[in-house]
Amino acid sequence: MTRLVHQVQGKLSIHVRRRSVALLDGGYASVHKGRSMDFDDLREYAYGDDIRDIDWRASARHGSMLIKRYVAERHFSLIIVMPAGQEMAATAAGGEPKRDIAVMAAGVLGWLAIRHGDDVSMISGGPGRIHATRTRSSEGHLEMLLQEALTLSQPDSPPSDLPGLLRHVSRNVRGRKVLLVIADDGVEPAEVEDVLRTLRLRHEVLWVDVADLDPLGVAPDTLVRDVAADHTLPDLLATDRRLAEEFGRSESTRRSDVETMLRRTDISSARAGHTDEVVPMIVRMLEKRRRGR
Amino acid sequence: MGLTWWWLTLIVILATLLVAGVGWWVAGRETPSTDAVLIAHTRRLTRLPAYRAALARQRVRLLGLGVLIALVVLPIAVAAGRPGTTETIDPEKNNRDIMLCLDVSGSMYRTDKAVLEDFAEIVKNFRGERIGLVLWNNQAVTAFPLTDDYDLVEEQLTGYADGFSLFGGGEYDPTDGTFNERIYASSLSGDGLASCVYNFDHVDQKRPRAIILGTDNEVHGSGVYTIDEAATLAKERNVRVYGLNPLPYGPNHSELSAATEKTGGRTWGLDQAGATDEVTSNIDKLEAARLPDVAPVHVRTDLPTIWLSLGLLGLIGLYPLLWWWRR
Repeated sequence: MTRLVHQVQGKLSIHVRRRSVALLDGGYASVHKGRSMDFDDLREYAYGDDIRDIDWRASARHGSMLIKRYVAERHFSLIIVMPAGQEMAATAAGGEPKRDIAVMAAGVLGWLAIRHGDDVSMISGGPGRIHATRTRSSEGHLEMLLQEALTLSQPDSPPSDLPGLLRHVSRNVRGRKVLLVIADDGVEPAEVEDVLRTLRLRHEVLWVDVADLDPLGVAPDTLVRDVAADHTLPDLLATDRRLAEEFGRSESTRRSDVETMLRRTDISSARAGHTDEVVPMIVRMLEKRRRGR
Repeated sequence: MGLTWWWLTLIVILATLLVAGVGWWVAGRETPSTDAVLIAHTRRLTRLPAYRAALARQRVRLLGLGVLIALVVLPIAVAAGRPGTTETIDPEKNNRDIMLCLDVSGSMYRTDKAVLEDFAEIVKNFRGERIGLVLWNNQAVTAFPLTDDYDLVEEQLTGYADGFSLFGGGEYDPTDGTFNERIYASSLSGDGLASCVYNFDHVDQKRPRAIILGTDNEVHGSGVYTIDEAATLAKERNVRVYGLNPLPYGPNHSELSAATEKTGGRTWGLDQAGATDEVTSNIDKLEAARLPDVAPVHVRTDLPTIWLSLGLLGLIGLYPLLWWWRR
């Protein structure tokens, strides 16, 4: 059952040879910007709160769920925003399914959070099916999250909706959290910039891009199919040089727009096209974040 | 223009349409191919105006290709159907031999030009018959032997007609060699007719033969054959003699009429208008009556050249285009 978490640990242990895990831990710890003071009061339960923080007695008296605030703020919790869907079943730049890279990235940060004693939860699903998991800090829980992400990311799964997920988070998640946003090349900067700005006010946001396979880089005479379509794509990119140039231009514009937007909103980002790149790029991202502070 | 094997054309076209239809159907029900590389967010590509333009270009190309293939298949299908013409030919017409037999003696001089022109008119209405011309006075000269080369026939006839009008000044002198000074006679119609009878070739073959004899039958002196003897010879050899007399009265005419009628023919006068038409139709009728009732023969002529050339041109256009597009 703990297969996925073991894979994550395997990748991490390879990395330990060059950099200490402490470095990673430190990098992760620096994600939390300042610990709040103990402030003993109760507030309404909100989406994403740890159920262990619920003050059952107070809730029973009050009639609605109340949580102990000071306890909640002592723990930081990691929310994995996972746009799991058929898009994640497509091929990544490195040739693997994108879901493997997404799960690896979520697993690495989730594992770091668990080591740190923090809670992990995941919000996934498409429009109308958004599903938030419970908040726990255990290996078994992380494994369950990763398995769920994998199950939701099959070619016959419904499509995902990252902007919708982000809007859902901004509306429903209370308290300061660390958000790990798994994105891909379908992101349009204009669609997410506003909601990211809002999220950034309240949470720490980490952004991991799973690089999609570049249609220009596909070997000639390879059949290419969009996960959402049931017919193959005409090989116009191979036969039409003008179109290929135009597509290359529009893609590089979009990529630089995404980067600019992330810089503007002060969101740490990383990009990976292969599971082997995930750990180094997360380390790089965390280090950069620590130095920048 | 018709197609002998029109069903083959139909089969080729139907087979092409069937293959195209099945291809269309198979392409339409294409199930998600399992070996295709899955990619996501192709909308990044498909929403580009350049993509729609490229797609439109591709459609135009494929449409052009389809039209070109149709342009190749259609002529080839027609060519497969054996295009050609069918002609019905009456074999009898090819079997007739007609000898024009003209008296060029002094008494005929005034009318010979008219007779030759009449001959030319008569010949115009013949198709497939072989024509020959023999000129005679007191001995006979073959101007040209039996032939179906109508260009030559027309040239010779008009040439000799001109020869009469120019009085020997032209290229053709109709009197050349027809008068032997050692024979004290002229206008020997019996000898002339007999010479004409002997002039038929392929005597062993049973062919309708006719002589059109242009003479006034004004004989001076005596020859080897009298007109009556010559007519008997003609009858023996199954040759019909039709007479054209510029002076259709008097004893000479009666003699000529009697001789021609003996062979089964007739004699007409030259002076009456429309004589040639009558002669032609009479000859036609009389000869037709003599001919055995032979079934008409259908002759096919294949004309595949245009269609094969069109198909070849289409192929020549198609292959470089295919190569260029698939490059």
